[in-house]
Amino acid sequence: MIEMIIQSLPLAIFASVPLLLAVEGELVAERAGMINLGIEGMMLTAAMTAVFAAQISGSIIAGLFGGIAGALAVAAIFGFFSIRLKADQIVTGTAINLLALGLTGFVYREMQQSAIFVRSVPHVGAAAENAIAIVSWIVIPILLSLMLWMTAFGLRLRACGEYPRAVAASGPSVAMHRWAALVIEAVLVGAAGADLSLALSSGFAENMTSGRGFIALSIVIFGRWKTRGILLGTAVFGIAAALQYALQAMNQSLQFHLLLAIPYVVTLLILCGIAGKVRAPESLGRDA
Amino acid sequence: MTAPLLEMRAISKRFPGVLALDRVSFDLQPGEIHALVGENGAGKSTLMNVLGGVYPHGTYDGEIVMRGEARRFDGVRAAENAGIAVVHQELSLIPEFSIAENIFLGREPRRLGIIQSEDLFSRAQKVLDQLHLQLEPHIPVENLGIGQQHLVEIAKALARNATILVLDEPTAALTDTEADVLFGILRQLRESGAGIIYISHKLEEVLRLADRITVLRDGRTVSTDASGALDTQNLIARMVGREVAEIFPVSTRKPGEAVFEAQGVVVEDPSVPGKLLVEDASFSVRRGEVLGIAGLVGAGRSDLMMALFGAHPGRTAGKFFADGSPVQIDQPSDAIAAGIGFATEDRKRYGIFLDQTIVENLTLAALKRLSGAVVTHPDAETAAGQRSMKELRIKARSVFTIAGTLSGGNQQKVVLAKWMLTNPKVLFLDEPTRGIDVGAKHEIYRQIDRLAAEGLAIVLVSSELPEILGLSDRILVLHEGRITGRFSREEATAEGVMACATGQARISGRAVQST
Repeated sequence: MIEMIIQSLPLAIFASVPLLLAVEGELVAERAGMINLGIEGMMLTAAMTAVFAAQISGSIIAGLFGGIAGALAVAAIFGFFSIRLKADQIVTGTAINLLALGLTGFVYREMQQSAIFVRSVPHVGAAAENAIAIVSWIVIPILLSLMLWMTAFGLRLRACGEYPRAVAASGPSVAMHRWAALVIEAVLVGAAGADLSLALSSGFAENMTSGRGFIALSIVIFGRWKTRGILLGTAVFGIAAALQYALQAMNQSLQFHLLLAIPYVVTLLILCGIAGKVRAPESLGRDA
Repeated sequence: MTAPLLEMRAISKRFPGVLALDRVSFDLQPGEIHALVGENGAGKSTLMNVLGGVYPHGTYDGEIVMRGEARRFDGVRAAENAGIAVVHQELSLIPEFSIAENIFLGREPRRLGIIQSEDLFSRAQKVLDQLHLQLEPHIPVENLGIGQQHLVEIAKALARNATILVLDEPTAALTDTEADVLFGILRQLRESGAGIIYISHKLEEVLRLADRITVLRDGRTVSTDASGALDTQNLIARMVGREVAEIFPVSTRKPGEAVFEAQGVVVEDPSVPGKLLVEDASFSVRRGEVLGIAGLVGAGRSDLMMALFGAHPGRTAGKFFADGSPVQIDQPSDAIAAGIGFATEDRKRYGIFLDQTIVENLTLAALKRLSGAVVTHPDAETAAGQRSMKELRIKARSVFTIAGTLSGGNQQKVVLAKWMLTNPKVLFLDEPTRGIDVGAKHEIYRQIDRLAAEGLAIVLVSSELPEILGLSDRILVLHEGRITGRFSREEATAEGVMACATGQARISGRAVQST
């Protein structure tokens, strides 16, 4: 068993990069008091815009920026409704997911014959993949921790998630901090979408995020809104997912549908185990 | 004498239908503690909201002058920048942040955006030392008791270099020891030349602490005197000093047997375990009687009502009897079954569905009785609704009018009518005339009188003393969760009730015991 886990580690590290980036983005948003249920739609949109940008320019870097641009557009919609109009965040996020799923599916089907989706995307080299993994697993977590827990900006951002009125009463703008958090999330989720469609796959497919956004939401809870916690949570899910492939390969007798469920079940069990001790940001999901 | 730190000249503030402040003048000298006292609704909070920029310049008349210079605040920020710090009863601290982080939130010492934590903690320590608070600046605020949190809130205000500090009921949540600490701090601030405006219901405290005391009543300044020239008796007289207006209908009622009795009611604060909001309250109410419950804000009146109705979020204890037989009340449906109706204080939140029709609102509490248990009978409901509308003289085009479009007075009548449809034996009314205009108040008074004359037992909670005095057959007074006074209609005077409400005396019948 231990051996199997070790063998599946490389796959776990690389395959869970999109999930990890999304988790990191959602951590920032939730710390600022926003629960972005639309993260699934954000990632899916980014996956598609990344393919567009990469195919048109022929460059992976352009693809990354294309993904980020797509995610920013979705963030703008979410922010406009939830920050500006103070609409319910859950409702807004749900609407965004439905919109993104429908819209990307529609575009994909309409343009199925177009070169953008037929031609294979520019190749991401092994060195680049390693760099991406290092940045996602090590560099970004350190930067995020520093930002959230060492800077004045981070302190105020967290205060927006705990008690926005106290922030407003002491001067800084709650809306500004929430928008900033949303932009950070969009950059990370945009990168997640681009990684998914350009590095892990060779192009876009309908609903290719397949629930990663929702898993990201629960991992943020599982990780108790702490950097270390979310890294651990993503690792557990990633390893369980990789292990599941290995089990599929060696054990034909088990229904693969059941195996597919393993990572979810494992994550769920862990979530149940610690649910009682979780304390969310006080004003998560509420108006400023 | 130097130029006053602050002068508020002829401040008037009008709300729709109410003149909340009528040419009130108030001034504050440097190095002075100036107390502001008055009954609930006398205009203290409104005056401080004008000062603090909650009501920006232009929404009130009169002028604010600081050190000889006219100031116009367009918002809370502007007032804060001018050196005015208002410490509200409600805390604005973030529990999981440290004391230091809370004190300096928004003005963190930093270099290139990075918080200089040593600097942050040492500056916080300095502020705490100034206040002689024995607290470590790095511990999270959630680890502090509620009293210490209040002191941190005051530290936060002081760290802004406020020259004018407004404290709204600062000792309401403090223990006596903590209050003493606070008084020490305030006296020390006074020495350093700051001006302090101190709002409190606790008259003894005010007399002990303040240099001058201004009494507000009905939005007007009654008097401003040096505290040495005053005592609790004449303060109370100034606070209530008005005749009970001749607007209260008094039909001859004949109270019958007790229909509801509560014994030894205890209510615990749900957020502060161990703190009792109501302690050992016992009383009964008879058929055809109005029992008034007086007391200042925070005395526990609403908590008592909520507990009797099985709707209090905290732990409660006590025995209840309906028609002499014991009843168990754990939730509102138990209370309704026992024949209790409850028109809550916060009408818009708990009493009425603003976006539904009158009839939907009316029949809600009595749905089982009026309509079927499973399927509703719209015709029966409509008929019942029309009867109640007529009975309580609700002014609306039809029972299908949306409740939110009615005036405050008519909304309150809908709430009354709603409970009448449940055929209650006892009706609790918590602040039934809050936020409604004078004419509509009179109408509500008439309905209360009529219902009592018809044999209903009514428990009336009100912050307006004249209302209590004018309508009640008997009066209970609560002070800090305890019943401190019991009066019959004949015995009750505004001064007596106020003395009990402020904890100056305990009165039972004619026997007066000063505490």
